[in-house]
Amino acid sequence: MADVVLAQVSKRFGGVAAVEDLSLEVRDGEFLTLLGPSGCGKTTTLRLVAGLLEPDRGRIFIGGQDVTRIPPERREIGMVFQDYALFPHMTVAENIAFGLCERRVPTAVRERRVREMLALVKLDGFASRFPHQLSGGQRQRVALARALAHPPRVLLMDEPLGALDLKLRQAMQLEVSRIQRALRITTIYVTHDQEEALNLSDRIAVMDAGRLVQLGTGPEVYDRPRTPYVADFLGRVNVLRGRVHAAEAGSRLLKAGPHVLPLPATEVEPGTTVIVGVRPERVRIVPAATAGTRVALQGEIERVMFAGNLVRYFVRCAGDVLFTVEDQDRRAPLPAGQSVCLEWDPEAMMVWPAPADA
Amino acid sequence: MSDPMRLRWRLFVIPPLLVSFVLFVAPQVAFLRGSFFRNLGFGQVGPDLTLENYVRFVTDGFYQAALARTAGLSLAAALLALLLGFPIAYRLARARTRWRSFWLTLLIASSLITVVIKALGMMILLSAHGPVNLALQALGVPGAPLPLLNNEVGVLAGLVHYILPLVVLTLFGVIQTIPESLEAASRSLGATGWRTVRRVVLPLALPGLVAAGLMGFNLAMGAFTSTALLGGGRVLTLPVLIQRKAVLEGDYPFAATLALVLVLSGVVVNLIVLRSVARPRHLAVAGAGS
Repeated sequence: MADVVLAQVSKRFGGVAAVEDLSLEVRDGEFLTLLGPSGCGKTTTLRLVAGLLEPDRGRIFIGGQDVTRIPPERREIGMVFQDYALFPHMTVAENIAFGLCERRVPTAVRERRVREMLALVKLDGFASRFPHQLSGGQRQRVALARALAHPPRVLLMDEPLGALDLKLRQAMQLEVSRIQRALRITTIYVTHDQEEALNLSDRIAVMDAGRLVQLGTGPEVYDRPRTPYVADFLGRVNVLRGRVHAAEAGSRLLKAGPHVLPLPATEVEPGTTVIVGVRPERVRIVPAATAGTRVALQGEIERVMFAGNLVRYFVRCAGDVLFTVEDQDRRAPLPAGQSVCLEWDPEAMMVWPAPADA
Repeated sequence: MSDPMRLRWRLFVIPPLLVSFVLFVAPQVAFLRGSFFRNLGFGQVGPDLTLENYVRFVTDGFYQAALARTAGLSLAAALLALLLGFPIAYRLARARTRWRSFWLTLLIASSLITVVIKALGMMILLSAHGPVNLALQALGVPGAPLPLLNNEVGVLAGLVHYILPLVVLTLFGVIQTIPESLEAASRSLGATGWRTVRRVVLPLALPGLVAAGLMGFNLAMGAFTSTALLGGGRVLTLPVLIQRKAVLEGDYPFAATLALVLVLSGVVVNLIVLRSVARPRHLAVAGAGS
């Protein structure tokens, strides 16, 4: 077990920055997820930690040891790949024993360890199968067992569940979580699936264009996203852009086109331009006629979508603003075309400074 | 089967098949059939079936030595080509796309050059005052310049040069099918680059190594031009002897005998290799399971 530290790591491919000045600390025993869209540098970061790539700049430490120039085979890591990367010419047992063989572990110890690993991933009795005789979920379990057998100091997982269907993915999420907790092994997990990241991680590192945008626990990055990008990547968000105006008693108002909204009690200077966001599940939708005094937005329902556990409304408001609202109460859904009023608590609003260029 | 289109296409295939048969198979059969008749000289053969040409081959050590020389040189050439070709094919298969197309184009172009030109090029390289011997002299190799032409060394170099592009292309295709993630997995599990090649790449490339090796061996067994040119007529392999018997001595029956012996020994070597190299277990199991 060990912590992993990346210190100002950069990696370019043919002049294009894949990872740019990335500093990150993964704590001992922590489950940390690198989250972002494809091309954001998350897999490159993982391969840098694995030693499959060498950084152009910066240093990488595992358990306090500088491994920047150490090849992957001497980093004592375990890695799980999206395509499983099981050796097709070896049985399940031989695959799992691969790392132990390379470490010259005596046969008796090796066999016991393989049995332990098979039990851990619930594949007892599969030892002499070949990878092509296994289902996708079973293959991924073997890949996990193989990565854990030697045992490694750090477990690296590169979109390990990406090739599985939804049900199996959810089941495997529980498995991965159970095993990681049982072994308390430092884990770096790469995914573009925000739900997976929220389900599994102690902390999430959101990446964009090779940079770390925000690092925090699931609730932190979901409820207090540092940028609109993070807010949008983790769930849905409605955004408005406007100018801050001073109101009586030190409170602030946002003027966004035809709309005037009270802002939460945050430190925003009057005269500045800001972007505000509100999650669809924090917006209440009420018929226009019964709207109270806390008017937020007036609009007309453009489309109603039944999503099983909730009803999702798309509401067209003045100034060409389209709001998404998620209503858990789906006993009497409002019809499309109805005029409605959207309201929310000021505390539900997220406020970000608008980028200077626009 | 009842599709009328399919039926008609089959009929279309018959004429070219017949032409091919007449043009390619019939002359070979007619030629090889000659080995069972007595040579009367001037292209004439006796009327009775006889095995005396084969008796002559079996009883004359000269021809058996030629067969051994042919097989030995071909085996050495095939192994050398595999040894040289594997690293080249591996690098090619793992290279960036742009460089890969460049080198592949070069490789295919070189394999399309006629053997005569290739052999002449090798003769310049290997001559007493050629670049190879100059390099050996500069390195202070004792005895340099070494005789590299008109002997078995020259023939071996020529054969390797002849079969290498095809061996590389075959291995390239096989190595390309081995996912790179397998190598990454092996490295992450503690195997060095060399151990990864030993435990992952080579076992998975084995069918390709066998195929490329046999193809190289077969080509070398039948090689005439490079052997004749680089051997300077002093390295007598079966193809060279066949040409002499047929063209210089007009002994068609014995040339046919040597040809049949050459073909059959090639077939035997191929069968032995294919049978002794066990089918990879994961493929064997796949076959048994279905």
